[in-house]
Amino acid sequence: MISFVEKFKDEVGEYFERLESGLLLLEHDPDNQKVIDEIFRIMHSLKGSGGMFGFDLISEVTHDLESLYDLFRSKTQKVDSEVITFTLNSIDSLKKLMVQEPTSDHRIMAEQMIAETQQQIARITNSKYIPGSHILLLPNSSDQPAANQTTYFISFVPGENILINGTNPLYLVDELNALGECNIQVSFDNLPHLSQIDPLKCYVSWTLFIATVENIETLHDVFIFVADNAQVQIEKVSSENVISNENVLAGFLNAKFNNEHWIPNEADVLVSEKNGKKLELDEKAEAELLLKSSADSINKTFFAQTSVDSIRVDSRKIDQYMNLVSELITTQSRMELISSRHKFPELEQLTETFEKLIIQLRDNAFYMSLIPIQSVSVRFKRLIHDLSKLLDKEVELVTEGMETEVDKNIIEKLMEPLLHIIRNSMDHGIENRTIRLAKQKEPVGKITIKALLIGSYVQIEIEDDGAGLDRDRIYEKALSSGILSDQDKMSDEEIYQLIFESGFSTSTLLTDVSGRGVGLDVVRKRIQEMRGSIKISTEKDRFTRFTVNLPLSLSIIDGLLTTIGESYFVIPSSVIRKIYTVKHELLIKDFRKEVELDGFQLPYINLHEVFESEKQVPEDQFVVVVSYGIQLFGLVVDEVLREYQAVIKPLGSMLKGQDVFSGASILGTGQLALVIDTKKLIQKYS
Amino acid sequence: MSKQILIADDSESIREILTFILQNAGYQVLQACDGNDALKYFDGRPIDLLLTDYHMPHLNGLELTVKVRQIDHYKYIPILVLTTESQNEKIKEAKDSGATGWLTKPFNSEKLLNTLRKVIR
Repeated sequence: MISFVEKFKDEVGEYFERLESGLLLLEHDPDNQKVIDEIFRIMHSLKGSGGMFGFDLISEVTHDLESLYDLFRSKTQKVDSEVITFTLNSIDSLKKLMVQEPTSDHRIMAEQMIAETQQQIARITNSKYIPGSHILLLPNSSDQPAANQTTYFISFVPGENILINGTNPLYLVDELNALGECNIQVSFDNLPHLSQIDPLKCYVSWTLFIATVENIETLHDVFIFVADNAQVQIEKVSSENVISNENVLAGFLNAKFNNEHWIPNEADVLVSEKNGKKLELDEKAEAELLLKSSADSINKTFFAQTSVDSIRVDSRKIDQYMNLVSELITTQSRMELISSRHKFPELEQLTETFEKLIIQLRDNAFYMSLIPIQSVSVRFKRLIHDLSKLLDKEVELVTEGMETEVDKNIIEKLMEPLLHIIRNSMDHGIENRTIRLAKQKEPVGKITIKALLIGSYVQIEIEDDGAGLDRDRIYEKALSSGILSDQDKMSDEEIYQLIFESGFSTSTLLTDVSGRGVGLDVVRKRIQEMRGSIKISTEKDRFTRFTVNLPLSLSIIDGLLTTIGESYFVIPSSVIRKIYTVKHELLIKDFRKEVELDGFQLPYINLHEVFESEKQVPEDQFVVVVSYGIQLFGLVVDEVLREYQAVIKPLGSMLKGQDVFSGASILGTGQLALVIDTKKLIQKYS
Repeated sequence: MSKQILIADDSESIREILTFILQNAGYQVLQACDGNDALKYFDGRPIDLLLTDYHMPHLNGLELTVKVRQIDHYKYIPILVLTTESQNEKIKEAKDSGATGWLTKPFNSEKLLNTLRKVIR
């Protein structure tokens, strides 16, 4: 610092010399504007620098000298010899005042100089000199006791052109943030559409609360440079720090919004007062509501106050919701494709988040449309009750697993087939009391309905303890109706399944109950339409059991997208256990169609062969290990691409015969992927 | 990269003390002794802030500001005018010329750096 002071002293010495020579010049040429300008500038510099280097008296005194020469500079007044003499004397005094720690003598001298300068100004401008208008005070200690924090509200709306002169409004917000504890809100309300944004304009504004020890002037000072180009509003919210008291802040904003006058108050008083006011309002509003409202709106308020755990939604709305989610998934897979093509990191990140959300949305929609089978079991009971009367058979219904949840659409479609099976059991299966007693069975017949979840399938069993199927009669009937020829060798199991063939009825008498046009062939068809399966097993005089297997959801599944040749196939994730890579050579060598993986012999199906792809088989293939009942099976595909959410669309009539596919799904590229029903595929090709 | 500040002031001692304060605060500093001298620095080099005195011989601070605002590359840089005038009239004059803000002399280093922080980081 010393070196700067020394430099400044040198500079001041130079100034004095220039002032003296300039003044002497003026004596002969009082109109020399250049000289006047220079004198003015020197006075100005002395004023500014003096204070900076600690020569406060110089600064004070030259302030008025500068004002004096400003009069001549603006050519309103002429320099006369009295002014020149006065200035020269002043310079001598200034030299004496070049001290950093002035004594009282120095102060008196400075006071006198200021008074004299002001007299000169008064003389030149022909105005009256008022003594004592300039009093030099000893510098005050500016230390104030640490004040309590006060909370202010600040609204800062920069003008659109604020950026033009180099202002960065963010710095001002930063500056506020440094002054105290802030709660800052940015408003983008005025932001135009991207195409209309002018990068030179400022469209954002800020509102904030600040709790600070600084006074309101300091806060205003923050905006001192932008006062002409921004709307700045500073209001006191509370004389305490209420920055984290949302009630008060909200109350303030509310009052502001309603143009009410806000009285800053102590925080605690404020809150209670505010609450009291709010309560009053509520009561008033309620009274008004009661007065003018119809019964309907009273009901609404009543319901609004009760907490609601569940709501009833029109099932069509849920269907619509599911459809939209399906559409969304298809669209999302297109977006993912575009994103993977363009490789914008931001887009990719967004797509990923999007995908996660959609999966959640899908699951959510899925669970929303599940209902327990329980909800329809009353219809089973009712049917059995009615039929027992009609057929004079005593039957007891036993249910298990009725809490199992199934897609509402599946249950709806399943109802008719299930009721038909029950009718069948009541009509043909369960014997009447006399026969049962003769067979030494319980006099009361029993129908058991069981539901359970197996993976992504729901299994429903309907079992009666009736007469069972008569194998020989079915066989004869099949022969006579031409469904079978006598060369066909069939296991008993296979023969039983014949009752699902169309035009098959062993009952010689058509009864009112089951002979209503809907035969078991229709039951099977309905279930297959839902990608399900039905099977019958029986034992004479013991039981007949129908087993229905259905996918949990009709429309969307998680799958693995694979390729075989140039076609895409989806294998449902629910059945996949593991995936291996194998050399193609290893597979062709083995004619038993088994491959050793992890030390286990695994039967496999090479889909490349099954689907007769003409394309070259790649050297490395993938074995997708799927579960098939309790067994494991390998499905060999050419390539495994990725996980894929398949929105399943029904197959057109062209592929109707291909029951190894449960449906088709459109990929993001618009290409088709067939969804493999692994169960049927294995049955067919193993 | 630290920010580069151009100081334009005809007083060498002021330039020196400004340079001292600014360099200590981590800025890079260029010095010009008047408006014309200052203009020479606007030749494409990075200048993040112009700190100019109001009264200078040849080209004063306001005239300099107007000129800088006409140079494409430097059109929008922040400009602070050093002045002893705290009257609104002078300040308005500075703002009308295109200055971002002003700094009233005398000031100490704290005040200087605080003011700087309003327009540059």
